[in-house]
Amino acid sequence: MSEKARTAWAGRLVAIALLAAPVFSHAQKKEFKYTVTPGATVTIVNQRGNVTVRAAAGRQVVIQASPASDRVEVDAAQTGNRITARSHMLQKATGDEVRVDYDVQLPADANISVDSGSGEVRIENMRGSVTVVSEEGQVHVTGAAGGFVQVQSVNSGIALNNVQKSRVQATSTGGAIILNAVAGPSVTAKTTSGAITFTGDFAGGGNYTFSNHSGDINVTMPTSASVDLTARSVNGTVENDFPLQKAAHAAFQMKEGKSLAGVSNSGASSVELKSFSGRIRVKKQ
Amino acid sequence: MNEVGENKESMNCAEFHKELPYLIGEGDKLEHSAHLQGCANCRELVADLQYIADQAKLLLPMHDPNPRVWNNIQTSLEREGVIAGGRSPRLGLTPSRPSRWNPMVWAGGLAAALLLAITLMQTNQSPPPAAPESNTAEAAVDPNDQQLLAAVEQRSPALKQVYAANLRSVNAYIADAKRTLEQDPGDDGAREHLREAYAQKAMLYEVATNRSLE
Amino acid sequence: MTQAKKTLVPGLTEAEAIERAKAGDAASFEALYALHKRRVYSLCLRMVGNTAEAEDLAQEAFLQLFRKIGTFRGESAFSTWLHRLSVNVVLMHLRKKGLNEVSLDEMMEPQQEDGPKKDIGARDNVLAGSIDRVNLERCIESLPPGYRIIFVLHDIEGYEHNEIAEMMGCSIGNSKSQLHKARMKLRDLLRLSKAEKASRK
Repeated sequence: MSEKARTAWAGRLVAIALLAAPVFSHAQKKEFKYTVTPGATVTIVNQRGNVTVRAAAGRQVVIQASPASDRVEVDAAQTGNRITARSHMLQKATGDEVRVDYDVQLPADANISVDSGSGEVRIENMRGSVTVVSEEGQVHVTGAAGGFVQVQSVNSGIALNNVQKSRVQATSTGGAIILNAVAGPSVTAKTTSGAITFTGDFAGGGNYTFSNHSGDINVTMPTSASVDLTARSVNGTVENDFPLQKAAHAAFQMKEGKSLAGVSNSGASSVELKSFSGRIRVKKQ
Repeated sequence: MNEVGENKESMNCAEFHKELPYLIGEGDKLEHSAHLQGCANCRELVADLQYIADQAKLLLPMHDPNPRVWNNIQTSLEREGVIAGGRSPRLGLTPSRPSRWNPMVWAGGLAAALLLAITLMQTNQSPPPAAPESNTAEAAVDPNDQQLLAAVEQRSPALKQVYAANLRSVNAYIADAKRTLEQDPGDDGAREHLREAYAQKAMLYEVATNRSLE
Repeated sequence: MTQAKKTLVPGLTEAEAIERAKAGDAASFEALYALHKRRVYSLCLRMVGNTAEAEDLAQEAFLQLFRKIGTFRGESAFSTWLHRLSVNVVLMHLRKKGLNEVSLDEMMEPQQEDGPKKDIGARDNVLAGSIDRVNLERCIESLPPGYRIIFVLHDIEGYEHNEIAEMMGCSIGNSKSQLHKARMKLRDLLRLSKAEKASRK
């Protein structure tokens, strides 16, 4: 190929690259690093995108943010022992242009708070408090033992797995709630139209309350569980194949096929299952 | 520049400005100021300052603290023995509700909380745009719900249908619980469900309106 | 809503919740917190301007209140008591912060001001009818701390100058002067914002 031809080709390639540039012009990935002492608080505020939070060794908080476009910016700042990272739109951006995916690593004893619009939220192995507000996007909390877990979701499912010794509040208007090996002094799960599924032994002598309008409430526990259980569906049904001893809950309004009351072992934990029109099932593990 | 014809014996603007902090909010003193009567600039200044003060009075409390705050308070108070620890009583299952209790009164209290959220929307947003043509039926005929949806749409159009669907669900929950309770006012279960339904609706309003997302 | 009529949970008024809280009832504490949290936190946030400190201060205010709830006799409204306590908690915190961050004494000194002089002779559009409250909140947030505190206490929270003077340890004249400066500063910020908005159209 002649020099002239090579130059022409190079020119065409450059032109093609420039034309193609907007397709590939993601904003640069950002990384923020901070050092914190025990009990730090980290807050992530994100309108769109996934947020993954994991406990890590050491005393650093590392926030990696991947904006989808240069129309959204990520600001992060530290004040004392508190860190806030927030996405905000620079110009009128729409859809996925405002997306930012976060990957956060922090000391296990930190407190994490996530305020998310659309996008999945995953939080793993934290020993500090966990609070999540999500409009749309599954929320998964695994391995928490920090004393407090609160998740509020408008439309998506909430899955809590292996959450121990914590006050737990899970509320989703439109999504289902799945609790697996969740135990603590107070555990509440509430939905309007979603199913609530619990598998565990109701340990710790706490108060467990599951409530919904419609959708099933399914509880599966081992025969070693120590519970004082009441279940009632106003317009639905209650089914039981778990061995419970009848207990005198004088105040409880018993209705055949729509309610259940009984004790297993010493009845250490209080369990209340309430559905308006859904089906409640109590099963043996 | 003072206007032509002003009384030379009244103060000039600089002097008036020096006195203004001690005149404003003092009732008639300001209105009777000769300088103010003769100076359009200073009248505008005073009008602006008064307007700012008036608007500030209308600012409502609009932020909720992170739920962690209550958790910390509760933990501290339990540790100090201020709060009695141990299992809480089965409030929902005791028959001791006074017969005069009317769930609608309580519902009114929570509705007040909902109205507060709605008022916040009104103060925080410019008037909602005219509703665009929509192929899907709106969530409810409740004007408060309509305003909530309009506010959500301004912030994030994609979420409007999400909130509409969830408002439909939660309104159905409220209606079902109310209906059952009206048929049998002694139904504790229905009463609790009504409370839960309102709490769910309040959560929707709170999440929609207390957003720090930009 | 009067105190007696506020209902927190079915059948429970605020007055009843206070009595139950005195006996250590957890649900009553939580109900009282839920009723007042927004006002207390908003006050703290407006006064200090950042969420981190505001959360800590709101937490401290409620803790102090709940520890002392046994002494509440109902002579004044519960909300008034809580409000006053919250303001004191914030002011105490600001005093402790030290001179290199914030000096209340420094803020209360009469300062040179050139704002009014610039206004003399200038005719601008009045603000009336043009303030967006979200914008107003933002401008309040960006006020210098001393101005912001006085403005929040007087114009938003409704304290009188003699009350502010007592709380802040300054003279009534100083309180009036600082309030005026706060409003003037806000006026500048709001007019700037209005001009920017107009230029974008």
